[in-house]
Amino acid sequence: MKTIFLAYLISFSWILVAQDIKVVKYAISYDFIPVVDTLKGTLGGPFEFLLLHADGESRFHASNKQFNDSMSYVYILANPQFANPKTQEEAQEAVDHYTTEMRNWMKNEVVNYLVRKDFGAKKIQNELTFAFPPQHLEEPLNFSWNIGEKQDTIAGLFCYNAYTTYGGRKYTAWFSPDVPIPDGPYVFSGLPGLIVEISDEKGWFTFRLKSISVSPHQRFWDVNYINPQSEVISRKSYVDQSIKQKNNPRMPAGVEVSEEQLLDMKKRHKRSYYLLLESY
Amino acid sequence: MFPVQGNFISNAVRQQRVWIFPLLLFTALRTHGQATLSGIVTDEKGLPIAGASLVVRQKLDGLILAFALSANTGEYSMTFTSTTDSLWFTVSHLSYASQKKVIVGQPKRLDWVLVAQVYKLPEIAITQSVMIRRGDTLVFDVNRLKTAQDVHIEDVLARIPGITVEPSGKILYQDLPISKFYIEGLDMLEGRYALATRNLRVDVIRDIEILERHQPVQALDSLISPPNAAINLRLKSKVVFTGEGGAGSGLLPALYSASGNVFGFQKKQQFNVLGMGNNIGEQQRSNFNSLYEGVSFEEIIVSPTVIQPTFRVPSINIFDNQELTGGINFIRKLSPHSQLKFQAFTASDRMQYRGRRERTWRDSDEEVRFDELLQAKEVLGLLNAKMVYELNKPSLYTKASIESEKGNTETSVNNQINSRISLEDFARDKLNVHGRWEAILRKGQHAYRLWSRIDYKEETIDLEVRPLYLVGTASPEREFNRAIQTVHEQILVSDTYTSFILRHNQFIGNFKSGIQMRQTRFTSDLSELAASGSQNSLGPLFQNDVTQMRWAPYLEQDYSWIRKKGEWKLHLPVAFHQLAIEDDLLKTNLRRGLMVFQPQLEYLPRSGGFSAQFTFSRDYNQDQLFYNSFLLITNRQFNRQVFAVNQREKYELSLRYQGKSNKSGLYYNSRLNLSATRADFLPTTVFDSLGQASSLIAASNVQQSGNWQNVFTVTPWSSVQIKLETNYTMVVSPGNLNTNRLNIIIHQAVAEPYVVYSFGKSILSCRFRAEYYESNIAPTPVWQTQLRWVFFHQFPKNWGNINLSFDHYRTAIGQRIVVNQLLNIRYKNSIPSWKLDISLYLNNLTDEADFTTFTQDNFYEELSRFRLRPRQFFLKLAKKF
Repeated sequence: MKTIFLAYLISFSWILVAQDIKVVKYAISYDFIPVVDTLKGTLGGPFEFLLLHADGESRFHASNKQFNDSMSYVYILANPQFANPKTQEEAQEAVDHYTTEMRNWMKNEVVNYLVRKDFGAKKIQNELTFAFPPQHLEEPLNFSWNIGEKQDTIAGLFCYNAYTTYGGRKYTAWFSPDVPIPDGPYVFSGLPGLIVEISDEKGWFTFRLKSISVSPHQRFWDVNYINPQSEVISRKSYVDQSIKQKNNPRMPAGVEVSEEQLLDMKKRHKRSYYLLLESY
Repeated sequence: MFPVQGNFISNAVRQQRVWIFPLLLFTALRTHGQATLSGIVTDEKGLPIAGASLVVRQKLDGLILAFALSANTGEYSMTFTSTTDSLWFTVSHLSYASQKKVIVGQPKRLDWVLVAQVYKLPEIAITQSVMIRRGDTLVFDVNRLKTAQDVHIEDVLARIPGITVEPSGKILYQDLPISKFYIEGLDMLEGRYALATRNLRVDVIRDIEILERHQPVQALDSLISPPNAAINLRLKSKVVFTGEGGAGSGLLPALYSASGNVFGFQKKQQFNVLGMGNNIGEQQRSNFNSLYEGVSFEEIIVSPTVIQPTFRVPSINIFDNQELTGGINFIRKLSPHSQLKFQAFTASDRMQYRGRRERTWRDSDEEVRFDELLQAKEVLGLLNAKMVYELNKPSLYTKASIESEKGNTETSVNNQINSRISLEDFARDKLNVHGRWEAILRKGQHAYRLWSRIDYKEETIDLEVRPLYLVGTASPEREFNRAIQTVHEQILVSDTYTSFILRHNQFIGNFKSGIQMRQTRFTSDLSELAASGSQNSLGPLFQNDVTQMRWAPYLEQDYSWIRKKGEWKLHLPVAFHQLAIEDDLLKTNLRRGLMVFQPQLEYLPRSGGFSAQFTFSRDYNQDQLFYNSFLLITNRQFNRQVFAVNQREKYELSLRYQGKSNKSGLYYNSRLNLSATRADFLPTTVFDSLGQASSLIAASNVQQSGNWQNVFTVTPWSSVQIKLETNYTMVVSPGNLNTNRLNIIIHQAVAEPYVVYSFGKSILSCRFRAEYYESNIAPTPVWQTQLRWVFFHQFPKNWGNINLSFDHYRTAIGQRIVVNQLLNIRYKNSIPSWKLDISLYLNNLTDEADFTTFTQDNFYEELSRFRLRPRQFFLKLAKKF
């Protein structure tokens, strides 16, 4: 219990110091449809993800995470008395209050990715969301696309198709030059128009456009989106850890759970093919 | 030796040339086609813009040849291969106005200066809407519209709000038939679009465009804005070859069905080849009907005594057939504005009709009942070919077409009438040739049109009946063991007109003047057939030889006044008809001149609301066949026309109210028609225990009718749609039965609610139809109800879908009640990796023997039982490619 408290305290303290609001240039939501049974081809979801862009940087994560983080930010503004706990009792009280309040509106973040695209430095950072201490993959932002001859209308937008390979998979994207945003879901970008839909050749992972907002507006913006203490790991390590997490899930170091909880987690992760999106 | 060496050298050089020449050619081609373009993208202050998208295309909406994104320094570079002299370059950025340039030649550097602009999303649906509007065009996203059970594009079209797909395949948009059906802008099928909507797979279609108020003739663009819409299908790829082949078999009796179709769509040409054969009751040849033209029921002068199937029951439960059909359609764009089309199809069928009919004739004094056991076999063959050339330019339009159709039908009838054998042999041969030519010349706001048509029709009919009774024919009642009637008809029609269209602001005038000629030659002869096979004519009372000639110059004036909320229309047609009718047997003739006019005033709202139409016409039955003597139109039924013109005057008022609310999903349409018709002649009928005869008598009479139709559609919740149609008709008409003058009053009312409820992966629909018929000369009113349940369910995990339909028909005539039930089940599954569709049909599961219908005419009522196909199991596999 003490370790759980410690984890909460760490994350709570982090919330207190690292939150901000920023004007984003565009906010685009996608539905993520991952496979949950590869033998039968059963698809899961959809899970809503959000693509935000500000100051030459794009971020992609679950809409639920955005919601939870922004509500935490609102909580902090509304409860400044818990901002600086001096004693363990005060910290305990702050955590209890926060937990009680959060329970009312906290949304599930079961399926999540954290991807940061830095268009200036031309690099992608992809956090290993379950890892503790934090770790992330860092790769150059440099996609090679082949434009296809097919055209289609998806979500009301006139689209062209394009092909690329990434992380061991071949992808087909549909992009719309009518929306001049050279960005897309997850790590994908670099086409002369917004990526409206993208899926791998097996149809296991699909991102599909849900809504677009291109008028600049304020959004919650985590200053330290990728933890500054996060360690850069190799693709092999990223993929191996992901496979391990799917097949034999573990809680972050320091967080203890019962065998029963672990078994339940293992059962749930059997269908968590979303963890296998990255490959060699 | 030198020459030898020389030869060796020259050979070596020659060999080198063989290699060098293609290499040089290849290098030259590569050098000529490939180009690298670079430059810088800056804002108005000269600061570099990063992340701008640069795209190069051969055409503005064509394929992308290459693209680049500008770097942080604003610089970009892209390499592309082009085969044309000019290219389109576009640059776009979320914070700057997009720019487009067409460049001739192959520039090496192109710099761009973008102007800051707040980006606004184009008129698109960003929240998963299935439809967007671009001006007068509605674009429906097929990906979002299609569901698991949709196979062909008709399934998707039927679900688009405002579109109705009739059982014939005809498509209406907002209650008006569509004027054109394009695929990638080309109208290959020329009205036979059911071939596409029922065969073209939905997964090759990208968008469905509805072009509202579509004017297909460029020369009339902005001059005439028709109320009808057109449909254009946009494909996922500019070049598509698609098709499917399927075959199936079943039991009770041995059943088969096989079909194959190929569609090819290229930039400049499209084609389609189809072939089908089945004995499961599908009438595929009806898909070759042109749906641009109104439904014209072919008027057959003489017909065999065959029980007719009801249209209310699915054809797979009714038609006992052996149909083979094949067709080809081809269109080629000869130039950007001209095209050539060719269409042809052939069909053959063997049909069987079986059933029982009880027809009761009744007047105030007597009642005659015919109990008929009807059984017929019909063999038909049909061959049709059509060629069309069209030039459609803004300044000039011309279209020429020729269509020819040859058909023959042979029917063998084996009936029992009131327990007496009655046999018939019927043979009909027909030939139709239609030629059309049209030209329109546009000059400014004026357009001139010249239009011409020639139609030729020839028909020969033989009806042999065994036995024949002469009844009500002003001849002594007689019976012949065997008799044959031979009919021959030739019709030649030509029509040529010129028209002039002008537009002045909101005022449009259309003036049309022309001349029509119609020549008809009609002969008939009823003869006794002796045992030896010799024919002895029954004499002039049953012989006709009439020639009709009509010259009709005419003038039509149409005026339209377009207002902000609607349009006023005045139609003023007037014609002079010069008739010359010669009876070559009786040596009599009729020559008469008649003025025919039909003015009409109409108000049409631009988008829903109230519309009205008033029509007055002074006319006569222009298609009437004049003959003096009796004609056996069907066994035991003689008919005679008068050798005079039956003139009519008609007043008709039509009021319509139409509205919709996109927010609540409510659509309603109410139409009221009132009419009164006065005619010079009155139909008169006589009957006795052997048959009936009808003719016209000179007696002025007035028929009045009123009709009120309502359609009401609402979607109260996203999962429920309710549609209600009501129709009430009242007719007051005079009649003459067995020399008694009657005043017939008929009330007929129909209510048809339709509810669709979708839940989970299931759809449940219920259609109920209640019909009430009452006539002042019938003893009891008639109630007919039909209840149709359809349940559809999509199984999870690629286990396919099931469609279950149950029909319950109930007819009550006084105390007498007749009930029919039909249960059909269809299971369907697809194996996407094999592109295979599997369908299993279980038809008429309750094994109902007959389908019973009740009809009432002015003087008789009829209860008929049509023999249904028995319980049947059928498995069909279809492979897409």
